[in-house]
Amino acid sequence: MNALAAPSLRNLPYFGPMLTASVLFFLAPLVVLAVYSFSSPEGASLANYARFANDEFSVSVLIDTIRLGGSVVLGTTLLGLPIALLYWHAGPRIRQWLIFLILLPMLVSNVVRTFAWIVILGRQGLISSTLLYTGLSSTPTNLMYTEFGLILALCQIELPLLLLPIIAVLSRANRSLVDAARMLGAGSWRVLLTVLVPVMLPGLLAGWILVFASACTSYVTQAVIGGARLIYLPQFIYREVGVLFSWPYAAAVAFVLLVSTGVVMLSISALSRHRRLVGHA
Amino acid sequence: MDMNLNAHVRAAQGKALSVRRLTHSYDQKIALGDVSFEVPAGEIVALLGPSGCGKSTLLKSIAGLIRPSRGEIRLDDVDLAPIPCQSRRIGMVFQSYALFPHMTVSENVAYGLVSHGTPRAERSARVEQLLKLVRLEAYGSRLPRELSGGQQQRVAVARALAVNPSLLLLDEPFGALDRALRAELQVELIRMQQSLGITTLIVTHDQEEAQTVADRLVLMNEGCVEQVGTPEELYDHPVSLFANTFMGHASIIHCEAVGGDDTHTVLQLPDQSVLTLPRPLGFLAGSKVVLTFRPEDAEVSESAAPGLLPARLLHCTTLGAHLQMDLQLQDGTPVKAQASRRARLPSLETGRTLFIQIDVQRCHLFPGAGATSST
Repeated sequence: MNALAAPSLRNLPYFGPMLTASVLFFLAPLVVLAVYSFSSPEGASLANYARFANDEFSVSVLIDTIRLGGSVVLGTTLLGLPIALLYWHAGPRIRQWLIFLILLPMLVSNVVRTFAWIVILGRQGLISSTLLYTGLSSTPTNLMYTEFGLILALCQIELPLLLLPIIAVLSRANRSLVDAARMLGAGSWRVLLTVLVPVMLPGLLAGWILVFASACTSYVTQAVIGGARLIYLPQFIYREVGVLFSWPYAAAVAFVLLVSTGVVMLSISALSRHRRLVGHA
Repeated sequence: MDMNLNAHVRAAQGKALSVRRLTHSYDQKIALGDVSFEVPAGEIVALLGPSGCGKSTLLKSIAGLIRPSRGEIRLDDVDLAPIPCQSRRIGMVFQSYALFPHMTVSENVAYGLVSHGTPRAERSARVEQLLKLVRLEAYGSRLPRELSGGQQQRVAVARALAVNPSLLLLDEPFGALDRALRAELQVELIRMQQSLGITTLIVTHDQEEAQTVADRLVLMNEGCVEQVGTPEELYDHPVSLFANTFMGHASIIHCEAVGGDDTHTVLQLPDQSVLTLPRPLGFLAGSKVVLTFRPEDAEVSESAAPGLLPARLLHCTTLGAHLQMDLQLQDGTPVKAQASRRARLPSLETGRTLFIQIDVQRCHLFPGAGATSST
């Protein structure tokens, strides 16, 4: 946003309220958290971080969390691209319906959607009984408390976050680009890979950031569908805070989560500032 | 321009385009109604008409981007109907240029070459040639958004020409450019078209642009071809009131054919005066007719005489060497007259009454509302 002038004191009435709110409700708690994370019985130290890094279990939880985020990003992309293409090719009426259907799940609470997935993923659930009925499996399949089940549920829950930025980009895209590619001899696949996907890319990258952040930190879904068997960082922090009352360590783990997801998100947004992607979204 | 370069770029000669009885409708609304015309090989023809007259639909049908309901499009006697648009090898320049925003200028120009499987080495040589042709050699690694409007337009032309198309379609290619740049690029396009010998069809709503670039014009109105001809033919011998008023300015006077014979036509003007034209009467006596004349075919004078129309001078504009006068006849009909500024002119105070002499040889007569032609 280069249109916005650098904040000067003259503009204080405009950015003042936002600045106050940010400092009070975002920056201050973060500083408190940081101070907590460095506190230990021996005074300020990196002990909490050292404990995390030296604990094999903690590190594996961190890796699982990042991998979960990555898997959900991949899953939502595979599900989302065909829907985005449908949106591109649809007429105005179908487009309206598509947007309505994409937004519909967002009107239901995350908790309710998670519980709905229990009904689908369980031993007597929709997937298991369908597999039994069609004879594809002779024993009931339980997807609850499995990573695959969790990824499946999160893909559905996070899908709107991926689709909305892509749709915003597609609605503004120049339709003649596809006509131009076809006139230059490109078949459908070439049009898709060399024109449509690059046009969608800025929206796709924005969606990836949202989905990754949301999937890594979706405490309720991770806890309910992952259960006690699959532990991710949000539950790990909750356990330290609520069960073990080890607040300084929990604060350190929270910072590890913040920094590690932050690094992934910053690298995606660095990609979207690439010279070829700037300005056409 | 470097002649050697032309020889390289010119590989495929232009082919003759023939559109026969083309009809198309969107949601029961007729966009094209029985359109036929020819573009001889190597010629540049302009499709001219007001917006919404079907010219863009016609262009898309030729490109293969839409499938017309009925009719035939042939390129050198090959029916294009079964050929999908990506195999037609027709170059097209879009109104928005439709340059791929994430590709550099060179990559944009090379796009069609890659589609058609041109080897890499040949490709880069060809891209270089084309950029030279449109004078953008130094801009190959820029992105489209880093170029000015005129440069973007030239990239679009180079990209369309890359695959040696046998036909070049241009959809309002100068629409987004300012006047001075437009004139410059029009001249450049003509020069390039002539040196490459490529058959070119350009769509425009601007009659001046059409006259500048094209040898022949196809004038369209409401989905139909109104008239086909050279710019002179359309200007001097319009076949309809629409053609007459669309090309240049024409003043319109509604009058009545009151008499005449094989040699002359007598008209009664709104102010009850009578005008005799030296042409056979083509109407039944008493029918409503429309008399039109160009500003340059009306002469103004200070004194009344038989056959001269009194009119009040409303406004006077200097257009270079000419004076354009806006006048109003006694019944309120607005008319325009033009005079050379070198000529001896009466004093031109606004509001005074002048007398107009219409050139009866050069004026046009069309049937008015409810008129019946006797021939």
